[in-house]
Amino acid sequence: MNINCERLQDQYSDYFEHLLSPNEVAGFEGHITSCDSCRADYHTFATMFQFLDRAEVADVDAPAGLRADILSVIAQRPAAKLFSVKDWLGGIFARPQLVWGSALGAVACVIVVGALIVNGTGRSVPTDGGGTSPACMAGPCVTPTVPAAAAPLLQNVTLKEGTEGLDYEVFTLHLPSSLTSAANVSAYVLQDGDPVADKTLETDTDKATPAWSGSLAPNVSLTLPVAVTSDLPPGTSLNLLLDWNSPNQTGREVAFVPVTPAPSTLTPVATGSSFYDAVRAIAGEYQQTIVADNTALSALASTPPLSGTTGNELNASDALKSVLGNNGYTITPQPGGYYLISHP
Amino acid sequence: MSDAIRASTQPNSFQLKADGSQPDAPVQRVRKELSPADRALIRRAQSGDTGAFNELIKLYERAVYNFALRLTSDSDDASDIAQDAFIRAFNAINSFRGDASFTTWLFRITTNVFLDERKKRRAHPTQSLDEIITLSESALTRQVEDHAPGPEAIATDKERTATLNRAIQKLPEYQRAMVVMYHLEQKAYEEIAEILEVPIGTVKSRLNRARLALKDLLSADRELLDS
Repeated sequence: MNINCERLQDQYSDYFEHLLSPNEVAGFEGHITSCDSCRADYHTFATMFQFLDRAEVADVDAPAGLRADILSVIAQRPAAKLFSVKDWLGGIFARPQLVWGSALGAVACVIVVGALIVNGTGRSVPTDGGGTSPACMAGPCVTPTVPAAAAPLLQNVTLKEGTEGLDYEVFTLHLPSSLTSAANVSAYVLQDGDPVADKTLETDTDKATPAWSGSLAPNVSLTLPVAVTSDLPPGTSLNLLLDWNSPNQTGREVAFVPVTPAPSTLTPVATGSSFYDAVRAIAGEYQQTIVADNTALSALASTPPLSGTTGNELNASDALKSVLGNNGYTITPQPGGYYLISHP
Repeated sequence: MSDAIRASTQPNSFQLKADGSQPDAPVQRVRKELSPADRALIRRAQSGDTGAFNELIKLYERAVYNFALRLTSDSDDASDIAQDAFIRAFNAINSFRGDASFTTWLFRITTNVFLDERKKRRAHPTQSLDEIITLSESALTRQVEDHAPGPEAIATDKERTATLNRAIQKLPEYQRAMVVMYHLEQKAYEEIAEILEVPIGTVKSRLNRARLALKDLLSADRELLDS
């Protein structure tokens, strides 16, 4: 095989790695034996090749904040199943009265950078080794569990600190035991829930921002973390609308979760406030998570304008009884540390 | 012959070391297969579970970051590339069908991010090497630091590695990516072909050209390599 110096170069790697045929090897070695220049050139090549393969390439750790940065960006991107922080924040700043006009008017969340499985009761703040994120901190998690004893869909709410400095309200959802087949569940963050019993609320992105939707089986729990932005006024609550439907049953409830400290002075619920505004005010001012179930929300249409007084001398239960008890609602403390409002 | 593992140990005549000893055994290149646990995580991530994607980042961020670091030789650039790569991966997670390994798929994305980024930089250069800096009383050309060791330098492995890395950084981006994948990431030809979506023969011929370019860049340091 007659090859020139340039052709020989094309075969350097294959020769070094034993990828040439015996005939090609014979041709290669025949040339290089008689060509001092190619022999020296190949020697440099082979030395470099061998050292490249032996070069010290010890891995280093990825930067500590890399994952949090990635998750933060992901959380802010519009996605089919995650609500858009950009849109949501844009909505807030486009309607500043929601944030600045009323201490009770704003809820805030950026989404869902994680998830937490909750087994305990009460609104405790679990710790996990110095503030590291739990296993599913970046989004909703589904975990097999025993069936829920009863409605409502929302079983628990806990506060969790994420590694990127945001606080998360982690909602644990479980279908009521009366449901034996999977249900489609949708979660929305409410900016304005006055027509909370109206299904069309869900299509009004000025008032309800989609947070999650999907199918939930009867024998699993879904944990849905929602991150809360800072710099919100005292008395602010995060209001999450949960809607589900299965072949045999539909349901709807709203959770009102305080996310900032109570204001120093409590403001009475104004005469004529809607059910939604009244419950939201009590949740924020009395630092009490309240869930209004399907029956309560269904009863809204026939409920007259609410009036009542709240004040520093009352506790949350008294405030709820004062505002809602006279309108036929029942107020039941739940093991999860929240009050459930129903309408028999 | 399979390229997944370079198994041949029989040296050719001109692969003997200068002292006549046999060269070291070839580097083993073994592809990491996807574990069932990883498959489950990917399926969850594809169904919209960002918690599962969080777990995937945990598993692969070190590999992706180190690959980016070897491509750029700059920790900030590597961090940016790794971040963009994972975000692209998140957005395209449903396009991962399991035909390639997840690492191969991630490295393909990372390589594309790197090549795209360099293309942007060429289109919008931020600094010229021959930029003139005007001082109050004089003008001088910005000095570009010459990292090459002087003739008196002691040729330690560390120095040789640094010399090699500097030469690798001088390669065109595409050649650099191939050299990094094959020699520093220990990827097999087959996997590089999957990452770059080109035939194996193309990978081999382009890698050979990259090595020849690297040899020319290092020709001044031949003594360093030979020592």
